[in-house]
Amino acid sequence: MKPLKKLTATSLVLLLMLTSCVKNDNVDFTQVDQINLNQQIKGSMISFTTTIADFGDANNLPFVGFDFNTPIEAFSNATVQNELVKLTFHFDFENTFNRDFLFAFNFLDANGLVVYSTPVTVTKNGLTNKDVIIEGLTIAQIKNTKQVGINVTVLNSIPANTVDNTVGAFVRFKLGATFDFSASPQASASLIDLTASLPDLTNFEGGNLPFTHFDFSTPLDIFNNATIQNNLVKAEFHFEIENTFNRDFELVFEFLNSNNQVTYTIPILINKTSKTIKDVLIEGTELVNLKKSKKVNITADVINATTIDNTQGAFINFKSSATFSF
Amino acid sequence: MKRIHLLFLVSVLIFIKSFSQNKPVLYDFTEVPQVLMLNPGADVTYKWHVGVPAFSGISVTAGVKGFKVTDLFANDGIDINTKLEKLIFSRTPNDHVYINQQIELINAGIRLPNDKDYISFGFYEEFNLIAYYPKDLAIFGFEGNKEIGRVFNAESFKFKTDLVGVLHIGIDRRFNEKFNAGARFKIYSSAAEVKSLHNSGLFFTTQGVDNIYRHTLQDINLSVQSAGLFNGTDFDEKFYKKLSNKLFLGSNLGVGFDFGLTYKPNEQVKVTASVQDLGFIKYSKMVTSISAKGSYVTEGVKLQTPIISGINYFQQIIDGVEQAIVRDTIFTSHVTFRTPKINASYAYSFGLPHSEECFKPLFDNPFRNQIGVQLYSIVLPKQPQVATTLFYYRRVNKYLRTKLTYTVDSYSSSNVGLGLSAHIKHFNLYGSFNNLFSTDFYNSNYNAFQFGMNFIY
Repeated sequence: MKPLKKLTATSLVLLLMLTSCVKNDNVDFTQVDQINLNQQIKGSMISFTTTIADFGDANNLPFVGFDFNTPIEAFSNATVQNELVKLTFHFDFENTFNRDFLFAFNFLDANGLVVYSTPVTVTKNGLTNKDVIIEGLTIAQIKNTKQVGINVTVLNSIPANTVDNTVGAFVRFKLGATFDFSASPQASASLIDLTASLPDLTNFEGGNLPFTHFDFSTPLDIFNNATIQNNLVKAEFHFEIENTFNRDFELVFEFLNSNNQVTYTIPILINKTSKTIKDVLIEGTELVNLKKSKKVNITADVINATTIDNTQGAFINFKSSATFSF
Repeated sequence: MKRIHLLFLVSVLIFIKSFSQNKPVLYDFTEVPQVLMLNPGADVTYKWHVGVPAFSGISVTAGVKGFKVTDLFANDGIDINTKLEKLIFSRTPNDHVYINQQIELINAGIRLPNDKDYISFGFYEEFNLIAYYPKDLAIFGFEGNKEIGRVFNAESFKFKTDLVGVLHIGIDRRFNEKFNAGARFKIYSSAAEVKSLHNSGLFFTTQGVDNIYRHTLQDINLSVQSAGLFNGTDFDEKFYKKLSNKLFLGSNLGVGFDFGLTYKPNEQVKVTASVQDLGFIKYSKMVTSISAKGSYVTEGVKLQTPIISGINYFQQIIDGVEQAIVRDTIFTSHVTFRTPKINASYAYSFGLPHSEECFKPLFDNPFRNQIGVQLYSIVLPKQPQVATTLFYYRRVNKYLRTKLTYTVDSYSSSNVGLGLSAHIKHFNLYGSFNNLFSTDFYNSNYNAFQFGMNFIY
């Protein structure tokens, strides 16, 4: 082989070897931040068939009501807590009684308080199918569920609260659910949602005017989580406040650590008879401090006045949500 | 949990492209002593050799089938979720990743006074991983059971990985000028193994009778076996501290053999064949196996009248699953067979040298050029993998030998490799590189290299 050919061949080989390496121009690994998994789990929940014997007393008449509840752990599951974005209940009834019934499905928290309730009217002598979709702010409420209950009442009966004694009549009930999960490096959740009217505000101070100060404190467990502690890089809070009072207010969120030292403060000026929207972005050192929070203290004060106006029907509607980026 | 799903899916898909532990460039490249590790009956002609400790043989091979990093992460303006969904559904359960990495710590050899036998010995560390694409699991993780009637099969969940130290000694006998045969005895010392190869069972959701859906777990039989990693069910926190001892005869042991031969019917034709790693490891120390077996059908809570309030009916469903799908943890020993590999080649030499004095072998091939074909097969858990290689070898001069290969297997038809072996006096430096024409790592199907340094006399 001539020297020139050798040189050319060697150069070609070296070129091939050297170019067989990593080229970053054609790939973009930051796309992983846009991956959003939308898993859907369908499941049967409760079914039963009731007859007149279950609805009536010893003589089958009159209708004595039906009340039932059972604990449920599904909503305590971390995946449900973090990634459930939509819940659809599928109700399926077959009613051969000559009566309409009202089935109320109640979702109760650990204290037995109803966090969500959906009524279903079951028409007489027929089939009733109903889908109930829960999403948005209501999802946050229903995630507090620790037990579910069913309360049944008879509708439009004459005489009242009686069922017909049709032999062989029954109500067949089926309940399924579809859980829609969404997993992405960003998670959003509703926080506090409340509406306060004049009696509510004055009641804070013992039911008397003038309103001077409102102070509310609650434990905060959200930061007591390894994923949050290790991976959270940005937190965004979103507040929407509608104020129909003729007063300005100052609302202050104070996040406190276990020693009651302030880790982060969010002041919000609420103008009278208006809607206030405020977004707060927390990252860097401020986020490090925020992650140490164990409690949140909320205070509200009237500004430029010592009393609250007594406008009838006035209210403050407060909504808040948070978006966490990992 | 879903983040784990996400990472799992991306990780699995990144590696879904098969490849082999094939070393087509190094096979029968007799200038390099490490050829004896692929064929203990290779016609080497050295008097003795010793590898540079820890640098005599380093090899890494990695690749996947049917998927390139650019399929998912290409900067092409297509929504990554669209690309991810396409990948999840288009891959097959036969797609797999198979990674092999070896580091020789000691490699040496010497020709016995009878001038016929060449003894070689050494110690190397080897890591293996084979994992098949668990398609049904990936689909369930991606979209759940929203498609009523879709059957998810646990059989697609299959993987095996281990980390072993191998102490070996081999003999290569030249029976005559035409025939060499050799064998190598290996003692395996496994530091760790995790495998799950025999899973079965179906999960599916159908329309219910008493309720809206019926969920069926049918003939579930899942198992994962591990060794060297757990004390009972607790991870051995001293694993890394004890790793070197475990790799060198300090843990679960096994034995194996390599066999090989070379036949040269005339001075221009050479036929070789070899089989590696016919052996097994018996795992009896720190063995933990978990399993789950059973069947279960549910349509949710079916209340019986009179309905009694306050009872935890949903917990009864969970209890029912746990009673029907029996979980077990055992610590009994088991045997794992090594993954055998088979090589064979046919070569034709031509082109006598003009005047140069080449490397001084005992019975060196006088020809400068060689062309031929090689066959390779490896027995993987699901199916054997076969590769065919065409090669051209040239002795460039007394310092440099080269081998150019073109390999076709089930997964790639464009794998061109190059091997170089430099000989400066008694010092030998070699390297082989596969898939040369893949000019972009992220857009390639196969990447592998081997290199090392020896002193050869």
